Amino acid sequence: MMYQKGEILLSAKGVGLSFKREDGNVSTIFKDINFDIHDIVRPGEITGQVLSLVGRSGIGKTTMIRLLAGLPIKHSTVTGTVLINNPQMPVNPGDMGIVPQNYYLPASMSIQKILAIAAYNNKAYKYDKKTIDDSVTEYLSAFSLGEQKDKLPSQLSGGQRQRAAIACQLLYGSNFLLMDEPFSGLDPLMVDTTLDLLSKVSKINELKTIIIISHDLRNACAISDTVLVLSQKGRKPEEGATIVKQIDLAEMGLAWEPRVKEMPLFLDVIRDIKALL
Amino acid sequence: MSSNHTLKMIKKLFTPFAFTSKEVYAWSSAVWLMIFLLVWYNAPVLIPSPSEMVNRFTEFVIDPDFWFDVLSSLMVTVFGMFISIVTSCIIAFLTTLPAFKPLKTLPVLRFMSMAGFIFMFTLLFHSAYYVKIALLMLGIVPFFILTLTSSIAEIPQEEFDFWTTLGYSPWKQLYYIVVFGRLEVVFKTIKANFAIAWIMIGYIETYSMADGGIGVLLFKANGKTQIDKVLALQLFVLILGALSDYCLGQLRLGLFPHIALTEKK
Repeated sequence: MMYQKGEILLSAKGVGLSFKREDGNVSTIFKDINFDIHDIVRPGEITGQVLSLVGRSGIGKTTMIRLLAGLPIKHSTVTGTVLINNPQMPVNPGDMGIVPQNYYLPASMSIQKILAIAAYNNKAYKYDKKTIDDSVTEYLSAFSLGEQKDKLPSQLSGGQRQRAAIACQLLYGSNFLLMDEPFSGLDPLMVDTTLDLLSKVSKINELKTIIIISHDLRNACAISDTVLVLSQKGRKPEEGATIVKQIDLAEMGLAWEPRVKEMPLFLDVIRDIKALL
Repeated sequence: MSSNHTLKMIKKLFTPFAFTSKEVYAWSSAVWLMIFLLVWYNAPVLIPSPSEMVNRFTEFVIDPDFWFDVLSSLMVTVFGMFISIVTSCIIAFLTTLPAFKPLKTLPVLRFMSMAGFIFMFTLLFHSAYYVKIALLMLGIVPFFILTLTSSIAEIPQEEFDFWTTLGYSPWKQLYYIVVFGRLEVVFKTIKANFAIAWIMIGYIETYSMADGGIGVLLFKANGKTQIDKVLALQLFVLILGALSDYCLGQLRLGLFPHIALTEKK
């Protein structure tokens, strides 16, 4: 499939994270994380970027989300920088959207109210109530949440809460969406729905970039154009985890393929990744 | 009901965490009530019988002067609670700012005795009413602050992340997450501590008897060893307290319907 790599949208340069332990020693979680995310351009199509950062459970993937999003991590020492946009600027809290694993939403508000609050700070809406309300209605419909608009988050299913959490971040307007274990706890049918939804979200605009952080290799890779393998295998404990391999699925002809999960090459890639973890 | 079924039910009643029907619950409650009444009727002569207590209770209820004392106690309690919760909220919310974090240690004051402050407060306020309010505040504000600061400390990180990633400033987060978001905790705190305040007011009124109140009636009845009156007053205090607790609970559920879905009954 024809594609080109354009400008750099996100660049992680020498990113590392460590904590000072109570015994005075330093515990390194990540070290020398380096990668770039380019704008992928396909003629005649709007193509966002979907990158998967895969690794074993407990390696610090959720911490990595906070690190990439520029959110503070208590009692830690962060090295390196994460740059975003063009011209490249260091990431600040609020520049990237996060959809956490448990799809947190404020418990006391209705879904419609939550979406309106999410849209409130979107500069494109200029704090205009009608524009915000119209957009919220549009997203409620697009994310099949119209009937749930007056319900509280605790009255929604896991899949509905996930859709609402994604809709929140999209309404705020950030081009970067970090997803923490988006397939965790979903039944096989819901996983397909989520894959479909993420694929649609990535096609909203050229610069839309989804970063999936997951230990579910098969599903994460099935939707991605690039895979980063985060591992500590073969490294000393004090060195922490790092990106041991970057796989360009687009180059291998494995991106944007609806039946990619059944392709032998895809299965080989999954096997290779497992060997690296 | 077969004997086998009855045996099974009895076994269940003494099995930890076993689920029972409402009917079984009602039966076991009735048994406990019977045990209580049996013990009461067979108690030493000094303790008045339930019928004597009910007679005194009726006398109180039809006496207009009694309602003056009830009103006096209620006014002090409600106003004292209001001013205490406002003060506690302001202090608890301020502890989110590093400059005010040391105020988190204020709950240590709950270990102090109120008795030592009566003279000081009398000199300061010159009014029995305000002395009682000040004593009540001293007694319950530390508990309120402790509950509120604990609930703030328990806010999960993802709640802050949600608002941060949607571009809300730390001040707006303070409003949405702590002030507005924890309003139901404030109500829960009022509900949980109303009983403490209600008990405390009985003691406080005996420190300063000028305005009367249920505490004063209790003190006088105790002094004259009128145990039937003491028990009748205690019954009234219990009914009023339980009623307030129920009303506060219903008000909280009405104002924050989401808690009915998330809290275990």
